[in-house]
Amino acid sequence: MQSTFKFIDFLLVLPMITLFVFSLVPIAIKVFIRGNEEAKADVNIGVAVFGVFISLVLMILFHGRIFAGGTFFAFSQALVFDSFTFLSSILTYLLAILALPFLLNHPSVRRSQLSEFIFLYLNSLLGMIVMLSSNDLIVTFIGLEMMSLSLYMLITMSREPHHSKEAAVKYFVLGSVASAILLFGISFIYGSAVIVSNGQIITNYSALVEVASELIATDRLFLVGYALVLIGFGFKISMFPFHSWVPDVYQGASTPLTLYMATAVKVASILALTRFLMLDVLGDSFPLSATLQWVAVLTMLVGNMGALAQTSLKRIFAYSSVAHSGYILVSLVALGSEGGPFNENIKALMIYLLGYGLFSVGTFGFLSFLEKSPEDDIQLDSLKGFFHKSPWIALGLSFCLLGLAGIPPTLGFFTKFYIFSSAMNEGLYWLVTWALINSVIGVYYYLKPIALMFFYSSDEDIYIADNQFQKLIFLGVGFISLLGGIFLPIFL
Amino acid sequence: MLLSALIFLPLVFAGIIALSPADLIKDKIIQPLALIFSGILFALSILMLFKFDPSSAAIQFSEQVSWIPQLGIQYFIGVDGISLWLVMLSNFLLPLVIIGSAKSVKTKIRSFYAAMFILQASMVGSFLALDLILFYIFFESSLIPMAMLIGIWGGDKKIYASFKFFIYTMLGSVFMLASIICLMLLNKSVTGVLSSNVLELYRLDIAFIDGRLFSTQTILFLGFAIAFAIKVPMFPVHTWLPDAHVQAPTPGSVILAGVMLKMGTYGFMRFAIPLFPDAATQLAWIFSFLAVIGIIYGALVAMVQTDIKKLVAYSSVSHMGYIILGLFAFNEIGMTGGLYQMLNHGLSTGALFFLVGMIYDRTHTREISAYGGLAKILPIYSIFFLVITFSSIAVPMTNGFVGEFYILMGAYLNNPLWGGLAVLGVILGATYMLWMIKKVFFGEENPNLISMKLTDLTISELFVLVPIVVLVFWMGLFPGQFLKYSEKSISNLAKNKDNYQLAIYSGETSSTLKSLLYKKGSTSKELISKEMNN
Repeated sequence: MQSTFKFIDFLLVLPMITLFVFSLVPIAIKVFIRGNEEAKADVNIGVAVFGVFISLVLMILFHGRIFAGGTFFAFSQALVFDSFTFLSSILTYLLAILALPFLLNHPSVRRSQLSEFIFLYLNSLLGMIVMLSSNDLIVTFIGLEMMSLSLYMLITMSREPHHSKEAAVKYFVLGSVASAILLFGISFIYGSAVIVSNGQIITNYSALVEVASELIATDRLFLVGYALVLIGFGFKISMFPFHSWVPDVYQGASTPLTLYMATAVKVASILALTRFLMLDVLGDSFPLSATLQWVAVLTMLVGNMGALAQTSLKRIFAYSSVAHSGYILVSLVALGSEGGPFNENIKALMIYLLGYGLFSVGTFGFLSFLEKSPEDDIQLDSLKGFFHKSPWIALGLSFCLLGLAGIPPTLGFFTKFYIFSSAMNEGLYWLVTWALINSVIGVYYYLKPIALMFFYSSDEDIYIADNQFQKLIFLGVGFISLLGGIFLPIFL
Repeated sequence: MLLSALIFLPLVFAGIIALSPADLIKDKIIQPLALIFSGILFALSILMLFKFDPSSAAIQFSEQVSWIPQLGIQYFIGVDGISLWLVMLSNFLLPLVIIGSAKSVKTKIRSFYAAMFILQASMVGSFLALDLILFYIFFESSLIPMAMLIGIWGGDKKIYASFKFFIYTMLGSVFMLASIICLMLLNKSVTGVLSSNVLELYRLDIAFIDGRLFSTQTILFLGFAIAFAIKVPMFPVHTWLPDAHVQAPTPGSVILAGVMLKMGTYGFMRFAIPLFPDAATQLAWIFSFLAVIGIIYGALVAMVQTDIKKLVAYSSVSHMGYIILGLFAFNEIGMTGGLYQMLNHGLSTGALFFLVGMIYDRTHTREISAYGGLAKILPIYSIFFLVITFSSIAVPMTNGFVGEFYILMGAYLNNPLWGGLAVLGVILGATYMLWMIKKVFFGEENPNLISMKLTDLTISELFVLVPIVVLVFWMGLFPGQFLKYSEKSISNLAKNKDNYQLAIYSGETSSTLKSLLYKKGSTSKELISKEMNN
């Protein structure tokens, strides 16, 4: 296949190039300017934030302004830039920026390797952006691997000696298997697509959509491949039964990194899966869609039940993140039943992910405040009487938790309402009923920390990191959770 | 703007109380400040009462602003004869509760009064909301401050009680949420517009097949009914109530019994019955049956309680059964009685919780066996307790009599069986209350009580009780003065249940004419003749 690259292609990927260039800056400063001496943490993180920000601005400028929101392809249709890419990238960038300041002064982040940390961090972000703008299964895979490989290393870089190594190995082994399954599935899809298109290799989504409905009817292997790709993604988005790594890895990784994994990484993986689901196979294949519905129910149940049994806050939030994957799967099933490039369901999903991401920044950000040493594992009971020591932080966390629980009048209620009503619109009544029952189960463990903070009084001192940036982000997120619903029309 | 002020001023007050710097406004003056704030709210609600036009069944003082057009959610509030008195009740009880809490709440004063005002805002909001999602938001928001009131200032098992309260009610209301979403989507499929405006949804014709156990309408109705039944609470799902009441601090109990439970019965009146008239009629026997069971069961359980507060809590279950029975009689008399009984129950049970709290503050026990001969030791207290008890057991001349009389008559007209069975509850109610009165106030004086040197009611406690007692007699002797405000709305509901419509009130003189213009769907001639019939 002959490829010709046009200038406009490079213009379109300029945000990605910028991101990569900035990822090199801290290392370059370390090696070339300071003679292998680490620069100040503020500088490193400042550069990273600045880099992501510039990349975001370029993205908005190029796509939002100069190209005025149309659909563009780059590099012989390997990458696509449409409104979905645009919005999902912005969402990912936003969450990545919010996660960065929590690295400052955190006990389990190695100061001496911060520039390497930043390099990997920004490259994993780059991987996500590649994944989100891919129009080709192979490019999606490359993005996914770029993201995952960086994460494997990032997890091991924690100063905490035991759990982080275990977490990294676990994540690496399971992650590689999942990647293998994903690749296997892709090969099936390609193989079956080659047959219907007279020997021509179809690799990009836009061409696959056209042959998909024909393939479903004629070729079982296509469906097998499709299911395998779903499994590969399912691992990343912690879908049942591929969720078991989540609590361990989230617990083992240093908290700021967990924050990043629970928000940006997860949101980006879900959105990449969304792009894949837009092939609209689910709508035509009843068994697949029915299976995915059951998987959604089980994901919610496993997440919620798991969280009920935990005493470590980090594990509770990890399980809660699994449960939220379940709610998101409800939305994805609804999406699969309709299809189309950018419909009400995707809008609902995006808003939900925005809410989920922000609240998770709040919950994991809260944990990273409280950690004093790398080995710290914040227990539920240590929250006793927290409100009376630090009322604002306690209120911020409460709003985030209520948001995750979806209790009105927080933003979380509106986002849940939106995905549930869009799912009901597709006729998924029983699935929504399950989701609603699950959200009641969830209320218990979301309220428990709140109850401990408000209803008890305790004399023990609780360590709270003193960092204005982090507090500002944290309180901002809490504030958005409380009042976001009122201003929701602005987002829609 | 008046109604918005009633909802949002409490939030502003809560903000002022919670955020005011401690050196500027000392803890000491927080309670008087809260009292002034609640006085302002009460004055506003009185203003609303005076401006209210009793000759119309339409929604008055309505405010309608588009909020989230993409999801069809509006900020739409208004008041009619049904919600008017409930708003009045909650604004009337708030100052009394604040006077009453000066003694019983001594820790975390700021948070307490802030929670109180937030609770007030959400309760008034849910009485005024005419948009289903807006209603749901207010309905659910009230859980958080109430759970806080129980959890922070409650008794020994406060955390268990507050969780039970929260999760029980939440479980019910998610089904309502599912029903609301279904209803909105149904409306969309008919009219093409996504909307949760109740006035539009009333016009919706929802599929119903008589004789089938589950048709669309029945399922949707059940979604609403479960939520409201838990809130009321009706018989099999009442178990959260005694726990919540016993553990809650006195002010919390008063608000919970006085106003919050009414959100459930109000929900039946405003949403569940008129939105799904066929299903409500089909299942009315279940609700009447459960109501009667609740009346008798609540009374029987109250009879064996050893804790006064628990006794009052179970009597609440019994009394709320009457209200449901009245509403599901589907005639004007029964519904009038139901609404009136909501107010009565708010006053009498609220006052009983106040009285229990007052004696608990003095003796620190609620065990009936610890008392005896209290009438000699605390004569004034005993008089008040007796009067309120009379109101609670519906002695003629008190408000309770009017309400129960209406309900029993309505129930009897609808089905003599339910009416007959419910009368049993009246006897049982008198039994357990008088039995408790006998043990606590009469008989041998308990030596422990004498040694405690109890003081009788203070001035501030009289300020709490006297207004309630005045209202007890006022409402008992001149019910017409209160009922004239609700008459039109209730007869509109009772007569046009199967084809319920609410108009928006516009102007005093030509109210009916203008409100007719609002209804686009039907010709004005039909409507005028319908209005004439009313």
